[in-house]
Amino acid sequence: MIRGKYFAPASAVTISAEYDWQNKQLILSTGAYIPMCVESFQGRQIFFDNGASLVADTVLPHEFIDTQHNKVQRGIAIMELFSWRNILFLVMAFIALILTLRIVLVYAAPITVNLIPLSLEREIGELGYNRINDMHFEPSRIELDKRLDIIEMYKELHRYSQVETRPELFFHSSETIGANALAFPGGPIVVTDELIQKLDKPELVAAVLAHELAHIEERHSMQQIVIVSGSLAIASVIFGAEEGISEDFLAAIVNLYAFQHSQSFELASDAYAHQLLMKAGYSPSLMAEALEALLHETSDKSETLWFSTHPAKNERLDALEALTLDSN
Amino acid sequence: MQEPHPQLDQSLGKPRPMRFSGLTSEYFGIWLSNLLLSIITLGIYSAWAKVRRLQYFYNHTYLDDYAFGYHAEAIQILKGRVIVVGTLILLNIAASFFPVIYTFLIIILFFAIPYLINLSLEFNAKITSYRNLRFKFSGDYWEAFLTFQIMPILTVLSLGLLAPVAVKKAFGYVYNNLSYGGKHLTADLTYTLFYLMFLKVVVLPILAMLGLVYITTAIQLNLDGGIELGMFILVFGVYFTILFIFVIYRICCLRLVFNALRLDSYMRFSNTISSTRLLWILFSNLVAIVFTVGLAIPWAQVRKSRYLCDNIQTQTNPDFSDFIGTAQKAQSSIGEEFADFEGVELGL
Repeated sequence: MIRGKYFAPASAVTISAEYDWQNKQLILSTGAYIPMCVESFQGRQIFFDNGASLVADTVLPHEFIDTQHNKVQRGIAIMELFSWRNILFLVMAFIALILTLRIVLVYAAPITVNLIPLSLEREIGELGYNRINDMHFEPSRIELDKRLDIIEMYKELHRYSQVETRPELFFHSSETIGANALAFPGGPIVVTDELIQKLDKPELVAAVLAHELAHIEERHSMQQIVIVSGSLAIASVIFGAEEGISEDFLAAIVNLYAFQHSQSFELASDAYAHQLLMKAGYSPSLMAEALEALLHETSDKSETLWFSTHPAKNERLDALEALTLDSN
Repeated sequence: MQEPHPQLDQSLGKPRPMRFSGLTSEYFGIWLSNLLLSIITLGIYSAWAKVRRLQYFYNHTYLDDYAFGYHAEAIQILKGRVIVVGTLILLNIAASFFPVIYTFLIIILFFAIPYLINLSLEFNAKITSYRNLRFKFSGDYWEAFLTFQIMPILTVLSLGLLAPVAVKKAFGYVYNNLSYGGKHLTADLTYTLFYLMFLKVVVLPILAMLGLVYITTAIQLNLDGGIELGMFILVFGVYFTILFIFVIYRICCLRLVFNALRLDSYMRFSNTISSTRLLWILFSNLVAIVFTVGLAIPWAQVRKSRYLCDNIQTQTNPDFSDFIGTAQKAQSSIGEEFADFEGVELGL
């Protein structure tokens, strides 16, 4: 028996009553019996299928709740029950899930990227290039001979790579970007004048180009897009309806995660460049030399690694050294 | 700041605070289960999680001796969510690849938003029950268009001078079109109150802040050196002051509304919400959430609900025989899910 206040259909007036849930009948304080089936219940309220409802005086009895729940609902109800053991289990499960999801996403990214046609990737690359070109790039001021030298080496490197159509190579001067090389999704590759000036030997520029070719061959930009949008999609669906977590907070976490991932892409590209340089008959130590020259000014301690898309200089040089030892 | 207390109606009972009976320990389990199941099901369960969460909060919010009921169907929410997410993805694709179509879609969306807002308000009213009766919202498309699309533009064009008009209109629209058991809810809001509050809470603090910024910059320039750090502190200071002003403004709006709200002649609302106290609760909640990597969310939500309920009072006529329910027909949740995803907050 559940004792409480009864509301007739479409009425807000209360009548004292009892509900005999085993026999599915309501007994009013006047003594009248009304057969009634439960449609749903929540909190202390029971809603009947005819539009009437009953607010129980106390918490609804467990026996009643059990008969109304199916197996799944019963399982969830047990999960929701507060006990330290339960909470500990849930928190552990939560951490395990996040880790699994992270691993799955990393493995799923290359597979998903394979489904994206190369033509679309190139289109994205071109769009990106055009946008940055308008804002940050000026025509190159490097002498033509030097540029032609670099282009020859680049063609040579490309021949040994797995990239089918050779991505275009552009030279630009850029004050805002400084000494840098960029690989847009599917190409083109851009080298700045500042980079060429800093690396006085063209072979060192070639080493950087080998690194950029790796980004294109492995489709790292696309993988990055898939990982970031995948994590954001999952995160926003999970937390989207949850108040109290701001979107900025969420985006910051996802970005932090994406940065970590980008670091592993950089290391992979360094290793690839090392291989490619060897195949094309260059000294494999060029990659380390180029890095040394480019990152010369960055002291390792000052880098806030968590927020960086690139790993620390020492980490990259150590990894390259290990490769050189291996190949020797 | 204390607004004039509304005339207490003697025919109604004594003012009684609302009550929130939820417990952090209870809600923590629900919240964590929701999170976990949402992740396992790649977000599908989040629709059920939303129902579970809101049901918990509605069921523990008491007005007089009765709690509210929440009646949304998870499947309905899931469908709405899928449609909204699909539309947003299409919009993003259009934005990157087909700028012409995108412009066209944005224009359509501009005219569709008032309709979606109405849908959302209708949905939220319909799924809320109190004493066995559901709430009802009957909005008007063009009124919503004026309130939610035109007024914000006019506010910007008037350099903020029309902001109180826009805010008053928005609150008025949301509350004055609500009804319960055949009786209308009314919020007797006046432009004067909103302008006075705007002056006190927004205009004066901003003027004071600008003055302070002017003085500090002048001192900085005289001192030479240390300018970078000074600028850094200044920018952060300005940012946080504006954030504080915004939150306090929202709280003050809430206070105005809950002092003016009544249900025909049957129920009157009043409140004793303190802006500084609520600000403190919101701010400390945020700090706790950040420092516990989110684990304090259930505690924070329960704490906020408890404070609000404890400080909103109602005077009620004990006779509910005049309230009559109406037949319910199914209602789409698309508008509600859209509002959810776009972070639209509509009162309550």
